[in-house]
Formats: sequence, structure tokens, C-alpha cells
Amino acid sequence: MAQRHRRRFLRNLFLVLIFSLILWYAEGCPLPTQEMELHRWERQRLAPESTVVWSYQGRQGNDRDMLVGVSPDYVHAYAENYRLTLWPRSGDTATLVVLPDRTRYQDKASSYLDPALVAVDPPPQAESARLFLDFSLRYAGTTEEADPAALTRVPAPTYTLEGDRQEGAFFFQLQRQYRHLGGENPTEEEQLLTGREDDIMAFLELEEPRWLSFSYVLTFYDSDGDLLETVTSP
Amino acid sequence: MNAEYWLDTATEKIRFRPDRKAVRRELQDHLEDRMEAGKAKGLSPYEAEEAATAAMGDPVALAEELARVHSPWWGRLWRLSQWALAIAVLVTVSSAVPRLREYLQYEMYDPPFPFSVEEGSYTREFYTGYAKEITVPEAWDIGGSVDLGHYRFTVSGAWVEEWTVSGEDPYPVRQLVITLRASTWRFWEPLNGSQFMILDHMPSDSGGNTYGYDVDTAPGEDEPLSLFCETFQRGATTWLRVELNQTRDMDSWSVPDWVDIPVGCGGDILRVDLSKGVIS
Repeated sequence: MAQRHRRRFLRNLFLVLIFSLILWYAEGCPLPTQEMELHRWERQRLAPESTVVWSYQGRQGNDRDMLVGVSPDYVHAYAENYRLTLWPRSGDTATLVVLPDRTRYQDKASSYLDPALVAVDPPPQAESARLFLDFSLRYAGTTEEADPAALTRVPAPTYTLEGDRQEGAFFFQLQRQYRHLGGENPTEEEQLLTGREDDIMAFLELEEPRWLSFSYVLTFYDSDGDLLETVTSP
Repeated sequence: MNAEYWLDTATEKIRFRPDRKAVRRELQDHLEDRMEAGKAKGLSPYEAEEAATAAMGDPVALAEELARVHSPWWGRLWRLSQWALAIAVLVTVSSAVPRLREYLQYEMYDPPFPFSVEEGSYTREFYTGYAKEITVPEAWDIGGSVDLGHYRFTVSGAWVEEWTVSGEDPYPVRQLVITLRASTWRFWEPLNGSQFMILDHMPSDSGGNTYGYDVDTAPGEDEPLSLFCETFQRGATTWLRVELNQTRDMDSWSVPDWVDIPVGCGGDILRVDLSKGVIS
């Protein structure tokens, strides 16, 4: 009788495994960890396997988990089941990447989802970092591109962000600064800046390494506040 | 001894209830056979019962032996597996089957482009209902394979296409088409089916030409010629149709001996050698 129960148990176990495999396949073959998913995306794109150096866990359901990994020549930025972008890795300085999805932050009593950036390979002694972003390039017309001096006349948002050291990288959260600009009667320039900020917040996460729409200056400081390294956009 | 009492005592230490019931039924059959035999010999029902239970032995000792033989664990595991199987069937039928049905319907679609063609002509029909008459003046059989990661790349077809763009000012177009096939046994991770596996790079050829996706106008000297890519996936196989040099200027471009096609994000390059008929 025990033998009969064992046979039936093994048969049922086999059938459960078959049905589980069918279910797993129908659900898109999910893997147990985000890191495994990242490596699968890398294999499917014939990209080298990266080592994860930074992670973000989505909250409240509508922001995705994200990972940033490094391989010899690239920084891999991955948003769960959404996007993987590869940024050329600078050999001897830090590399700045735009995260492929937005992150959540608190501002007074509300929480917001906005784009964010991560700098990997910071100087080992770096205790703090600052990032200056200038979006004049994004809104410059052809004539302004030909005349760099004209860029200073383009009304475009600029941001100075303080980095937050996380897991060996520096995280920069972009936050709106033109949200309440101008009160009830904003000027034309204020309206323009607010509109351009809306545009940046809506599309920055789609930024591709080859076509950066902004320029930046990234600086790192040691515990005494002394400048360690400056990285500028290509 | 009362038969019911004997049976209860003999089976009370079998902890798995279905086994206990089955063994009790079997013992009961034996007891009833003995009782019938006793009655047939002229014993009274009471005497037959007493004789039968005495002949079957000490129920307490038998209970110990039966408990030792009928361990409950396999029975419990079997019961657990029945529940697990029922749940697995229910979840699969309610969740997986509709998805799989949708997936199979998609799998039944014809691919949007041919994987290989022969010299001559064919009509290519598009999903929008538009059809194009295409002449194929030259086609090649390309053998061999290249393994990149766990994907095996082969060339399904390579040929030259010519057609006429209709309109007020019709003009002829010629291009080289190479269909790459990437297959893998890891059905859970087919090669990424994005066009940008090809379009993010610039193939080159033996004639010194380069091909690029962002070229909108007719190329000038030393500028990249045009590049386009379509993809199709079925199961664990991905096809990438690479179209090189869709040009109006038919006389200024000749079929190269080989084409180097970068693919993916890892710097891998596939060389399709038309003159030797091999991929490397």
C-alpha cells in the first residue's frame, strides 16, 4: 500500500511540475530575482554580463525596480521588464547615466515621480557630489548650435543637484523647481520654463547615450569639502 | 470476541485513515469468510464469530505489526499531491490557457516577410493590404553558423531585390537583403526581437561602404548608405531581415563580396560572405 501511495505521489508530483512549467511559460518565464532578469536581458541583447553596483526598489506599485550594473566597457541601467540602456563607461573617471524610469521622492507632504541620474565609479574618497545640469542644448535651434555664445540666451531649465551616496554610487534626484513659478500671473519666460520643465520630466528617462540633450558638470568632494574630480559631458 | 471490536482493535494504530479503512475491509472479508466456514460446519453465529476472531490472532499484536507496515507518510504525501495537482490544474486552466491560446493565435500568423527567395520574382504583401512586385535578379545560399552566447546564427536567405516605387514620378530601387536566423534551446530567452539590435550599428562591406539607419536623404560621397531592419519571432527563434542600400542610383552600387553586420550590444560582428557562401 505504501508503494502504491509512493507511485501515485510521484506521478502527481510529475504532473504538478508539468503544469507549473506551462504556467511559468504562459506568464513569460519570470525569474526569481531582478538581478537574474537583468542578466537575462543582457544575454538576449548579446551584452556582457554586468556586476550590480546600485539598486532601487519601486514603491506604491507604479515605479519600477531598477538596477545599475557595470561591465568593462559599459554601465548598464535596467528598469524591471521595461528597458535596458548601455552607457559607455569612462575608463578613468566617473560615468553619469540617466535612469530608464522615474523614482519616487517626498516633497513636503506629497510624493512625486521624476527622472533621476546615477554616477558610478566615483573617486574612492568621495563623500559628496554635486551635479549641474543645463538643458539649453535641448532647446537650442540650429543657429544657436552654430554659435555657442547664443546658448546662454536660450531660456532653459538648469538644475544643481546634491548627490546621495548609495551602495558605492551617487544618486541624483531631479525635482521640479518651476512648479510654482510666477504665481497667478507668470511671465512669458516663466511659462516657457515651466513648459520646458514639464517636457524634461516627461521624457528625460528616454534619453539615449548617443543623443544627450543636456550638458553637465559633475564634481566630487572629500570629507573636508576639497574637490577630488570634475567630469563634464562629452 | 466480537468481530467489530476485533477489527477496530486490529486497525486502530494505522494512522492514515484511507489505509485504515482499506485494511479493515480486507480483514473484515477474511473474518466473514471464516465465519461462513464455521456456520457451514454447524456452528452457531456466535460460536462462528468467536472461532473466527480467535483464528485471526491477537488483535493488539496485529495492530502493532500493521502500524509498522503502514507508515502514514507516503499516504499523506499522496493526499497533499492530490491537492497540489488540483490547484495546479485550476490555476493553469484559468490563467495559463487563455494566455497560451492568445500566444498560439499569434504563432499562427504568417511572418511579415519571406525568410528566403529564389531568383525570379515574387509579390510581397503587407498587413496594410499594400502589395509590392519584386524582382530578384540574384540570390545566394549561405551555409555555416556562428554561435554568439547561446544563440546560433545562420543565414536563411540573401538576395538582391529590385522594384519600382510608384507615384507621379516612379523610380527604381535596388537593395541587398540578408535574413539572419537566431535560435536557442533556452526557450525562455529568445534573442531580443528589437530592430535596434541591427539599427544601432553601421554595417560595412568589402566595397568600403557603410550603412546607417539615420540616413533620410540620398547619400553623398563617403556618407553611409541606407539601412533598415525588420524582425519576427516564433518560439525561441528570431529572424532579422537586414536591408542594405535601398538606393535609387542603381548603377553606382554593386553587390559586395561580403558584408559585416554588427549585432546586439556586445560588439559582435557577423560576416556574411556572398562570394564564398558562408557566414562567419
